[in-house]
Formats: sequence, structure tokens, C-alpha cells
Amino acid sequence: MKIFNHYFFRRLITVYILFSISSTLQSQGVDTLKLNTEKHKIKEYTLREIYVTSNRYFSKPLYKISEKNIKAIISAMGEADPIKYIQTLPGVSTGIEGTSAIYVRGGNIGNNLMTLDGVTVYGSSHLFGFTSIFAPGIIDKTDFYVGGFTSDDGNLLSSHIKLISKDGDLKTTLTTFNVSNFLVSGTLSAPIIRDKVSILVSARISPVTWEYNALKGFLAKYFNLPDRLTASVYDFFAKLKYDINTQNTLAISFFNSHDKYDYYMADKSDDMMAWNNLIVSGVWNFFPNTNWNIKTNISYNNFSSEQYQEKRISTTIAEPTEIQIGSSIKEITFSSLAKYNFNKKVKIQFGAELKSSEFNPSTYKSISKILDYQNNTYENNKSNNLLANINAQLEYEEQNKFSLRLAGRLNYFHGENFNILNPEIRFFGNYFITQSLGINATVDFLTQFYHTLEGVPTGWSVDMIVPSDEQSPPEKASQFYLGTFANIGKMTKLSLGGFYKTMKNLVYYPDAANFFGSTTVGWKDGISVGTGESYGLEFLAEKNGERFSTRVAYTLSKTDRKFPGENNGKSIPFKFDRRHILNISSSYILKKNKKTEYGLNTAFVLTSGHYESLKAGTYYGFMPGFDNENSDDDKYIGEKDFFTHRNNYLMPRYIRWDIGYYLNITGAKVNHTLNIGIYNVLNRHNAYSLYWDSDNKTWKQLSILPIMPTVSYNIRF
Amino acid sequence: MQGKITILFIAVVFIVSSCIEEINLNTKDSQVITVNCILTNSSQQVLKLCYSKKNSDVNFVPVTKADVRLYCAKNYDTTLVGTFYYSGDSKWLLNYTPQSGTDYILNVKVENYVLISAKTSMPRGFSVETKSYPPNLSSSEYINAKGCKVITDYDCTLWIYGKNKGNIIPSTTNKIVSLISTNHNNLDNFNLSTFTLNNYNGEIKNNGLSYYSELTFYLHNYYLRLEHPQGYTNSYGYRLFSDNSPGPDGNSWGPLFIIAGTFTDYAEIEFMNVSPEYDRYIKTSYNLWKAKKDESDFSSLFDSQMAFSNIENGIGIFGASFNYTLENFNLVQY
Repeated sequence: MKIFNHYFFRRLITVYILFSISSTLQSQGVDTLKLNTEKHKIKEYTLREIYVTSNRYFSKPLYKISEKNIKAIISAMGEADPIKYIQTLPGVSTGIEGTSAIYVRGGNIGNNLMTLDGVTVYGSSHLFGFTSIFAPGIIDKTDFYVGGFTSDDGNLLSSHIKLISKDGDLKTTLTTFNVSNFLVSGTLSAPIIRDKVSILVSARISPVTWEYNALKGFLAKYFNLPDRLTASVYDFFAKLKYDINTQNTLAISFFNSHDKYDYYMADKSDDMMAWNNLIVSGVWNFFPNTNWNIKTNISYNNFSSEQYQEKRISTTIAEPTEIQIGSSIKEITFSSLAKYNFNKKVKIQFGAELKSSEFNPSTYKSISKILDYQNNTYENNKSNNLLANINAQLEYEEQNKFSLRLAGRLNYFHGENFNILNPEIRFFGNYFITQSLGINATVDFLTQFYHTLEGVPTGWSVDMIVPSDEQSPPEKASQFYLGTFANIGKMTKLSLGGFYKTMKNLVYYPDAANFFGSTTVGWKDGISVGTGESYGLEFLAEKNGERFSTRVAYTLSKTDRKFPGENNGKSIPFKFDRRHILNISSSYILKKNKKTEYGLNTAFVLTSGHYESLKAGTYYGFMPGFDNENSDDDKYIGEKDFFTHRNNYLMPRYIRWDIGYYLNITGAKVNHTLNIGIYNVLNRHNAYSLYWDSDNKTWKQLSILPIMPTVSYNIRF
Repeated sequence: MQGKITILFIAVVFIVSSCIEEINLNTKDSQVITVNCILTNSSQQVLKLCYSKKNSDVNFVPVTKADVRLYCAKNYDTTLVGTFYYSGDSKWLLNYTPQSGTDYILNVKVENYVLISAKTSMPRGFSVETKSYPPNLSSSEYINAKGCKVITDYDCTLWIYGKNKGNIIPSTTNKIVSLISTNHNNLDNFNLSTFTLNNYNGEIKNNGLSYYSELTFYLHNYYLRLEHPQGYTNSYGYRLFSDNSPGPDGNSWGPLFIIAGTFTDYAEIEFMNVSPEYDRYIKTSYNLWKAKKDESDFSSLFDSQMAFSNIENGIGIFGASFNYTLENFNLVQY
């Protein structure tokens, strides 16, 4: 079941990028003039969170990502998002370039947790992993945790990408329209009752199908295109916030994202892939007094993915069968978290969470067009699970001297014929040696109860998520970090540290290529459970000057995996074990005055290649019943690929250089922003994979993203 | 100006579209010994021994000189059963009938290579009884029916496939049946095709008996893999036809399961009770073959895999299979 021809896919991306033009229209309410926050925004540091107290710096194991950080990223798809920025931080390795795949300190993609207002997001990307499902305009804060997790963070092994949505404006009506190559969006923020009730609504829809139809005639002269391609892509977010009184606020939010790609190849098949997120959440914040905050949340989360095929293999088949393969997760979650500040030094928090889930990975059903009914839906993979925890945390801080945080969780997981009670402990500590130099450490013992069967490493939403059971128990990690942080003058910050991490019960699904067929129904028989180890050094330096700013992030690390029955019991390299990862980004303001500002952005990436499995040859194979070696069916039977072991070949290093130019013009009534960029200026064909072309007896290299221009035009009035 | 823009557009499209290219690569190709041997309940055992091919090689080269020995392991003792002899075309033969329930060890010594070895266990035997039913001209559901009963006194993993001999005698073909179905309850769905018995408009020859029309029988690609429980009177369930007339041992036939597929008029059905290694080999081989066949343009994006192998210091499979051939699966006569 071919999902798409990858030649066609590359050309599709090319066309979108060539026509990447983004314009943003904003109108402001007539009663008040909202301050242009861009002008007045304090420069935000991209190092770990900095609290300035008496010229001392307090470093925590998290990155606070600002809108400015995100906008400075030159993205292949024309629209940057938090993930693209996270991919440039220390300890983070990437999968297929341009996509949302991140591997943090040796963990898998599925070991990262993404939440929106505390609700887990399972399908976090549009367009097969190339762009985020969240409109930038709805996100208020993005925090990226890599260690020293708080007590309310759970069911993860590597990182937590914590997204907090904006509230609607209580005083002013703000409307934004945005038109780009891939998405058309509008956002409305307005008071319903001034100073009491506000609403924030955002909707995005993709014009991909119309663009394709408009260009199809021209492209058909040069490329082999499907007979029909439609894409239905949208996301919608709405949030109602009610400030009941000074002690109580209530917020209700609704989020829906949808991706559906349908293409038809004449006389062969009609194929479709789709995935869908639906999150409904209610949050009550209660502030009994200035020391207390109690946050209670109830949410419903429905994530589903689906594949469909109508196949024609013979002219004798008048009405072919439609086959559908679908997976879904439905969750209802109730949580409550209380925070109390005893005084400036001591804080505690404690809470509880109850999550009831229904997993249904890989159902398979056949729909008969002749008889017009559905038959035999295979739901033998359905399971109901309960995940509950109680958690508590204690923080102690001696200002300008040291700070400590100790967090604990007690988890209870109840699955199909499988129960487990499991504690977790996390520790974080800071110590100031001098005013500008300190050391910090984290210790984390983590457990993850859901496994992600990873397909293509793009961070896309067709990876299958399954609960733990006796065959594949919860994944566990022990992570240790020790580092130092310093500031030189007022503008330069440094951090250097080392980590060590062990993982067990990691799940590997070797039949990912069969995700799009009936074989996936029997996924349980195919998974392999193993262990992993990762260690390395992380370095981050940042300088923020009046005109010139730069950031250098470097990681030196090694990550292995070990699975029973593989490589005679010896460990193998992790696929995305990139020994060296270097990210340098800089910006320079060429001119800045009241009306005009323009400058240059640049980013340079140099990483070691990832690991691929290259065959060393082929060996004679057979399947029972196949005796005729000349038939077409036997083409792949008589010869089987032979590998010395998985991930046996180190790919060439990855190098990419992006440049960008920006121009801000502040008028009396209208503000303009122009961004022009070139992704991969060197046009280096960074290899993603290599494969043997048996017809031409030669090795071939597959690269994903060559040189790509981007243009963005923003108008605000 | 417009012409220049058009040319620039085409040039840029051409540049950014060049993402597959040939490269020179030294993958340090290596060569291993390939051993493929499935012990069966026949009187002669066949082993295929050859060198693997490097990427640039054309043909498989047979191993013509080797010391290939089969041992029987019982009660912590290992006894030499026999030595294979080379008969040509990569084939090595041993005249021996393995014993059910016995463990076997295969050792292969090839000059300049480390000793190659593997283990397996010979599965237990079974028999298959069939009963023919005359055609019921008043009902289209009965087509020269044959019900099947697989008689075992233990649980086993059965693989079933068909071989088409054509529509005339003598047979002119011997091709594996491409689509096959059954109403056996414990059927592995890993190899479902996109067709069902209800809506496949090609020719399906049913080996008979009624099946309930409100249910759908999926057609599987080439094989049926069953977790077959022991005994006559296992609980197959209501889907199966139950014949209370006396069977070959005097007891009633009991529940029978049907096999249907794209059979020609003359066909045979092969039943195999396989060892765990062979079971895993067939399944992983099928999955690899399927992935390559369907996703040949896309497979380079996924992790590459190998079929299961239990050959130490080599590659291939050493397994065992107790086979039963239901010959003359002939829908013309009854």
C-alpha cells in the first residue's frame, strides 16, 4: 500500500517553498491602542531560565522559549515552531531534516512528552511531521524541560515540551490574519465582558489542494503526478476565560486538528492517510490567598489515525474492497495540583491525577461496496487502562547561595491483565560558588507507561502508541546530570555539563515498513524489548549585544541500544547517535532607528551523520511453496538482504548553513516586517539514507531538503 | 522579463528537485555461509549450502566442499545421526527420517570459516482426514465440498498453503495458490489481503460446506497460519459445520473447518506443523517480502531488516516441519 511516491512528495514540497509568501494582517481595536510589545520586549535569553537577583544568576534545567527565539529560525517550510528551535539546543539530536523528530539525551521520539495546558498531545504535527499543529498566535509560553523534572511531570523518559496557551485580551479586540504557502489563518482575541470574560479563537486551514490544482497543468509537463491529490488540513482553537473574582478563574478550551491526504493513482489504488486530535479542557484556578494556588483540570482527549485503501488489481473486480486500518486513543483525565509558598525560601506542591484511557491500536476492517456494509472490524487490540498518580515536591532556596528541589511520584497503572505500582524520584540542585559562577545537578528516575512504535523518524502522527503490558512493561530511565554555569560581564552566559542515562524496556518495532498494511494488526508479535545507554557533554554559550547576538550549542555524546537476539547480544549504535552536534546562530542589526530596523540572521549546523543499516550483500532465501524463481512474486524471495548488524554504517556528516534578512518598518499606522531567507545556502545534499539499486548495480543516496528560499511579509495595523 | 522569470523558475525547480544521486561507496561487503535446511518427515533430508553474494556479485556460489553433520540430542547426549553429501546445485542430502519430538543439532565446517551450527526440534506428527460432500444443486453454497479435520493430541502451529496443478490432467503447472481463506477460529491475520470471499469477483473454489453469509471471510496472501488446538472436539465455535455422522475412527466427525481459495480444478493442500524457528522465519520472510513489494519506492526511509536466522556464525534457517499433503484436492470429482 503505497502512501505516496517520494519523488512526487519532494516536488510538492519544492513548489510550496517556491511560493512561500506570508502576509499577516492585524487590526487593533479602536477604543485603545495596544502597545507594540515587540518594541518594548526585553531581550530574552535562550540559555536556561535566568532570574536576575542581586547580580547573581540562578540556573534551572529548563529552556524558556520565546516568540522571538522561534521567529529567528529559518525553516524549510517557511513557518518556524518551538520544535525547530528545540532542535538547536544541547542534548538534542534530530531525525529526518526539516521534520519534528527530536531525540533528547539518547531517548526515542516517543519518550518526549508534549502538553498543551497540561493535556498530553499525541499527534503534534501537520504534513507528516514538517510543521506544528499549533498556530504560533495561541501559544503564550513554551518551556522545554530536559531534567530535574517537577513532580507533576510524568509518563515520559526524555523531555517535556510544555505549551501554555494565551488568554484572550480582557480589554482590547485584536484580530490577526495570516496567509502563507501552507496555511491560511485567523485569530481573534476579544473581551466578551470587559475585565471579566475573554475569548481567544484561532483557525487555520491549508490551501494545498487549490495550489496543487492551480499548478498541476504546468507541473505535469515535467513531473509524473498522481491523477488526483487532495489534502484537508486544518486546526482550530478556542478558549474562554472567566475571571470570576480575584481568587478564582475558570478557563474552557477546545482544540481540534485534522490532517487528511488522499491521492489516486489510475488503475492502481485510491489511498488515504488521516489523523485527528480533539482536546477539550476545563481549568479552575483557585487562589485562596497570596501563598496558595490550586489548579484543577478536567480534560477529554481523542487522538486517532486512519489509513484507507481501495485497491484494484484486476479488471474482473468491478467493485473493489475498501480496507481501513485505524488506531485511536481516548482519554479522560482529572488532575489537581496545589502550590504553597511558606516564605521566600520554602515552597511545596502536591497533587494527584487520574487518567482513564481506551487504546485501540491498529484495527482492521473491510467495507464491501457491493453489499454496502462493514464487516468484521478487528478490535482484538482494544484495551482499557487506568493511570493514576499522587505527587509532591519540596523546594528550598537560599537566595544567591543555593537551591534544592526534591520531587516524588507514586504511579499506579492498571492495564489488561497487567498492574504495576511504581515510584519516581527527581532531584535538582544549584550552588553558587561566586556571584557569577555556580554548579548544578539533576537526578531523575523516570517511568513511561505508553510505548510509541516508531515508523519513519519525522515525528509524524502515524506512529502507533500502545500501553504497557506483560510483554512490554513500562519503560524506565535513570538520568544524572552535573554541570556548571557562569556569566561573563552582562551579556555573555555559559553553561557546561555532562549527563549519563540508562534506559530499559525500550520498545522497537522492526516491521515499520508494514505499518500501512494488514501486517500491523499483529504488531504485538513483532515488537522487541531492549535497553539503552547514553552519555555526553553539553555546552551552551550566548552573547546578547546591542547589535550582535550569537548562540553556540555543542553536544558530544554516545548512545547505544541492546536488543535480545541482535548482534549476538552486543550493543548496537542508536540510529540517531550523532557524536558531535554543533549549532551556531547569530544575528546582526545593520540599522536601527525609530522607523526602521533591518539586519541579518544566520544559522550554521554541523553534526555527525546518523547510523544506517547498509546491506553487506544478499543471501539465498526461500518461502515454502514458491518453487518458480522466475515469477514476479519471487523477485524478493530468492534473495534476502544481509546486514552485519543493524545501524552498521555511519552516514556522512550533516552540514547546513541558513541565512536570512529582515526589515521592520514602523509607520504611523502600519507596521511592516519583511523576512527573506535561504535554507541550506550551500545546497548540500545531506544524505538521509543510502540504498542499493540492484538494477543499476550502484549505491544511491536519498537527500530530503536541498537549497530552499523563503519569503515572509507581515503587515500590522 | 517574463521569459527570464519562467527560465529562472524552471532552473530553480530543477536544482531543488535533485535529491537522489549515485555515489561511490565502500561498504566493506562481506561474505557469509548460507545454510538453509528444513528437516521433514520424509526419508531424505535436503540442505542448501552456498556463499552469500556481495552487492556487486551476480550469482550465488555453491559450497561444494564442507563437513556437514547432523546430530541428535537426547538426555544430554549428542549422537551423530549422519553426514550430508553433496549432490550438486548447492544441494546436500542425507538419507534419514527425523523422529518427532527430538532435538537436532547441525554443524557445518567450511574451510577458512568458523564452525557454523544451529539447533531445532522435530515437531510431532498429525493426520488430516477429509470428507467429501456431493454437490447440492439446489444450493449454490455447496460446491463439491470437502471438510477438513486436522487430528492432533497437542496444540501446534499450522501453516497451510495450496498448490495449483491446473484444470487438466496431467498437470501442467505447480503454482502456489495466491489467495486462501478459512473459517478456523485461531487464524493469524498478519497476511490479510484486501479481498474477502463475499466481494472477490474472481473465481473462488470453495472446498465446501456452508458458511454463514453474514460473516466475512478474509482472503489471505498465500498462507494460513493457525494456532491449532489439540483433539477432535475442540471448540471451534458456531461458524464451523459440525457433522455428526461417524468418522474414520467411529466417533462423529465433529467440527470441520473449510478452506477456500483461488484453486484450479486440480490442486493439493500442504499442511505443516513447524518448529518455532521455522515459524518465525516464514513470518519474517513474508513481512520483508511484502514490505519490499508494496513500498519499493519508499522502503529506503524505513529501518532495514533481515529475516529471522538461527544459524550461528552464518545466515539462513535450520528448522523442522512435519508435513502432510492433501493430494487430489480435486473439485471436479467427489
